[in-house]
This record gives sequence, structure tokens and C-alpha cells, in this order.
Amino acid sequence: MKKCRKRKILKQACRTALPLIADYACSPGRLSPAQRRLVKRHLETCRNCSKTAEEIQYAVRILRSAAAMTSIPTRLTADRRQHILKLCEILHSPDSQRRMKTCRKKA
Amino acid sequence: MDTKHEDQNAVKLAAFDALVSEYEGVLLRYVTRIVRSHDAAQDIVQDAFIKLFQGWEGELRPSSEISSWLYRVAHNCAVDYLRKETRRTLLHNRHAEESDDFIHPNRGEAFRLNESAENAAAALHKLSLRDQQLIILKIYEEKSYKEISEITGLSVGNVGYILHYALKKLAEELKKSSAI
Repeated sequence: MKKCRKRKILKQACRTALPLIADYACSPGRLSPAQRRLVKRHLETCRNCSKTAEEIQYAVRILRSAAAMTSIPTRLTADRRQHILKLCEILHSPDSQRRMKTCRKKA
Repeated sequence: MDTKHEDQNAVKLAAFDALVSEYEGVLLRYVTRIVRSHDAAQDIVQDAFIKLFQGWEGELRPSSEISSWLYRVAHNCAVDYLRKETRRTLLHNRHAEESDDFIHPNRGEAFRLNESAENAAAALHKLSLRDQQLIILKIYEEKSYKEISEITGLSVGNVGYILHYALKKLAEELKKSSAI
């Protein structure tokens, strides 16, 4: 009976800390000091969660270092940008708006 | 009256142009990580902005609402693109089985990475799209649980749980591919 109760308490503690572990591993600054303390204390006493937190930290480190090696364009190509603006100009023209209003009325 | 309307048009278009400049970079980064194709990402981000112009009824000014809206729409467009790609690949593979002179479809400029980055991207892509979305938003875009909740429609509590298990799965995939 005692054993069951102990297990239940442990599970509850894991459940409370679990959603915070990802933030603790990725961006601890996002957690409040109380939340950080809670996760830290839990990880010191729970071997399972501590192992998971370590694995998560590894995964985060690998993804971040992979990101540093990846170059992604930061701008749309000139023709795509022009296309967007031209289309929006057409969509916003009085003619097109009048047509859209008529369509909405018919619908 | 016409001049006034023209002025309003010019103001709206200028505001929209500023919005494109503000969000194009983050959206391209986000979508490229999901679809792994630069050309497709450019098309998807272009569509997301056009949808914003057509569908947004509030003020066209940078805000957390517009940012979440853009991420959400871009994500949905990316998911549609991936579904179409899967169907296209299936059809091409079927065609390949039937004909000898088969040429692989051109998917545009690929998302090229070095080996370890490729391992990480491959491990990430073994996860469900929902898991990928949460991991990309958290690790690469550095969003808070609240922001992720606004983008995905999940509750803040669920974001923490799903992210935890998604990162655990990712760690396992990385181990398998011996990246760890």
C-alpha cells in the first residue's frame, strides 16, 4: 500500500515538471525562477526525467548546430515580391472591390 | 473622391509592403525547414502574404496576431504542398515501375545541407508534421509556449506535453542515425 502511494506521488511530480522540461532544455530564461527551481529539484531526484532532459538537451544542441550550418534566403525573390504587390494592387483597385461586393451580394 | 481613394490605396499598399519586409525572412526560414525546398518555400510564403491581403480585416501593422496568422496560414500551405508532393512522388514511382526511360521529377532547388545537418534534418522529418512544427517553432524560431499555442491552436499546457514527447522522439531518431 505504501509502495503504491509513493509511486503515485512520484508520477504526479513528473507530471508537473514534464511540460516545463522542454523549456528548461531549450530556453530556461522563459521559465519563472519558481518554475526553474521546480524542474531543477525534480531532475535531481527523478532519474527517468533527468535522463530524458539530457537527451532533449542533446537533440536541441544538434538541431541548433545544424541550423548554424544552414543558409536560408531571408528575402523573397524580386519577381515574387513584385507579383504579390501587383496582385494586391489589382485586388485593392475600386473596380475589383466593386466586383467583389457584387459577388458577395449575389452569394 | 478618386484622389482620396488613391491615397488610401497607396497607404494600404505601403503598409502591406512594410509587412512583407517584416515577416518574409522568418516565414521563409520556417517554411523551408518544413518543406525542405527553397522554391516551394518561396511560393508558399508568397501565397501566405496574398491570403493575408485578401483575408485580413484589421489594420495591416506588425503585431503578434498578424505574426501568428501568417505562421498558421504558411504552415497549412506547407502541409498542402507536402501532401501534393507525396501524391506526385507516388504517381512518378508508379510510372517508373512501368517505363524504363523514367526521368526523376524536378522539384526545384533542393535544400542542401552538410552531413551532420542533413542527419538532424532527416531525423526531424521522421516525426509527424505536428511534432516538427512544435520543434521548429520552439528551437529555431524561439517562440514561447503561449506564442506556439496561438499559432497552432493547442492549449499552452498541451504545447509543453507534446513538445516534450516530440523532443524525446527526436533524440531517439538522432541516436538511431548516430548523430548523437
